[in-house]
Amino acid sequence: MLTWRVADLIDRHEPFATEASMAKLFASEAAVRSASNALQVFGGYGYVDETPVGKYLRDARVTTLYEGTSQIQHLLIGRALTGVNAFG
Amino acid sequence: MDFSLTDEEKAIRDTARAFIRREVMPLEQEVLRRERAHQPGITRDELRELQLKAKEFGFWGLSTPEEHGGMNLSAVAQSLIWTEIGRTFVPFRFGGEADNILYYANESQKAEYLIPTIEGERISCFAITEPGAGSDAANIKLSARPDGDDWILNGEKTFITNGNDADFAIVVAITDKEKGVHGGGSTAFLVDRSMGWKSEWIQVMGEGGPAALVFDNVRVPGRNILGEVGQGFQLGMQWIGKGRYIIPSHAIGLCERALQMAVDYANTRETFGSKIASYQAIQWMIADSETELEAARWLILRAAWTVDQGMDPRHSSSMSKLFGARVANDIIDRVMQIHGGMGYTRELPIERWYRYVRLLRIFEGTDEMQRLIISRDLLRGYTKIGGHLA
Repeated sequence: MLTWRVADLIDRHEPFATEASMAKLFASEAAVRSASNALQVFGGYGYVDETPVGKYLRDARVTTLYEGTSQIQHLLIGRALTGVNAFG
Repeated sequence: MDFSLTDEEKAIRDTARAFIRREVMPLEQEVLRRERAHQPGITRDELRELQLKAKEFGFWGLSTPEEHGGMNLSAVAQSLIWTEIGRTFVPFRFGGEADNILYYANESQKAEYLIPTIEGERISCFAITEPGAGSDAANIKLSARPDGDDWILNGEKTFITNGNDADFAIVVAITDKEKGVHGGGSTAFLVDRSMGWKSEWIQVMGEGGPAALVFDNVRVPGRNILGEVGQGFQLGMQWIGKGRYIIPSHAIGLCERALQMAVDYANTRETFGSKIASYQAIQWMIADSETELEAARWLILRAAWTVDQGMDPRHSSSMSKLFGARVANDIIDRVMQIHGGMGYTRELPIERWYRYVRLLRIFEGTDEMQRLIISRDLLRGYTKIGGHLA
């Protein structure tokens, strides 16, 4: 929903930077959490290369790092909401 | 309450630390390079050479009885040493050890299997898990049927650590389907690779990998039964129970190292004109990691201490494994986050640790199995809330 909201804002030519930060933060953290939970459900079979679950976890992990880490997204969202710049 | 180490524990810990730093850590860059090229981090010969060098420093057979040339260390001392080993990601361990259940061997089996394993001349693997029986190990199907004085083994084992290198396997097989595993229907066999079992490498998320073993009409002489007929599952549970505090002991070693790397990086790396150590986001990750690491450390040492007191260590070992594995995953995750993109590269060992620690929540009893053990013991009144202080 957060991601769709950003897409909708873009379509309407409205500002979307903060909403994009929220979507990126939430979705990337959710991806890591989901992949790790899926791996646990698979047990040992999630850890082998025969199933793609381990790869999903490795692929998901980088999404909280690149294009602004989760911590940077927190700072950006916090600045937008409070007007206080906690960095830079 | 005394939380300090004895002089002896401190001396042995410091010697292990010095050995790992001087002899093992210098191999780390080469290990990373080889693993990036999909080769084993160190060869069997290199490991053996290191183990023999460690023997000169007195490190041989941490858990092995003195009559077999070992150190026969307390569980607390073993835990401390495994933490030191954990500080390096080189796949190293001290030599002179054998599976705990091999001590059930009779005299001729000891000469053929136990002693050569301790000496490092033979390599063992322990095989209970099957494609349809992991956490529910009592559901194993691999069968052993008597044929004269021999037994004929048929079936599969999977996720067997050392299964690719081992020249013999300790195999738990069903010898009496009617009795079932809990009723004495399973038996442990010592099965040489030359008797006909085959192994296949299983590629996993972490470095190295276990094996799948296939038994197709493998003939095993009756003299190769380990312990008694019907004792298989019991021996299997003893084997699994032994390592429960060792696994998290090793994990906190790598967490200590990784957290120090994160502290150093936070004090060096600058963004927006300031060291990232000056940001609360980073400080909180470091504070949470240190707190959880310290909590795990004492939970693990308490489990080891329980072993040394001769008390049933199952409950405290399960808690230490459950908590230690979770904390290791959380800490390595934060260490990667603090390093940002650098943490995700194969230039540093962090992504390697990240892949490795995920295993800790699965093998040797998943998180869920540990929770089952802990809650079941409490619910049936076998253990008390508060443990030995209750």
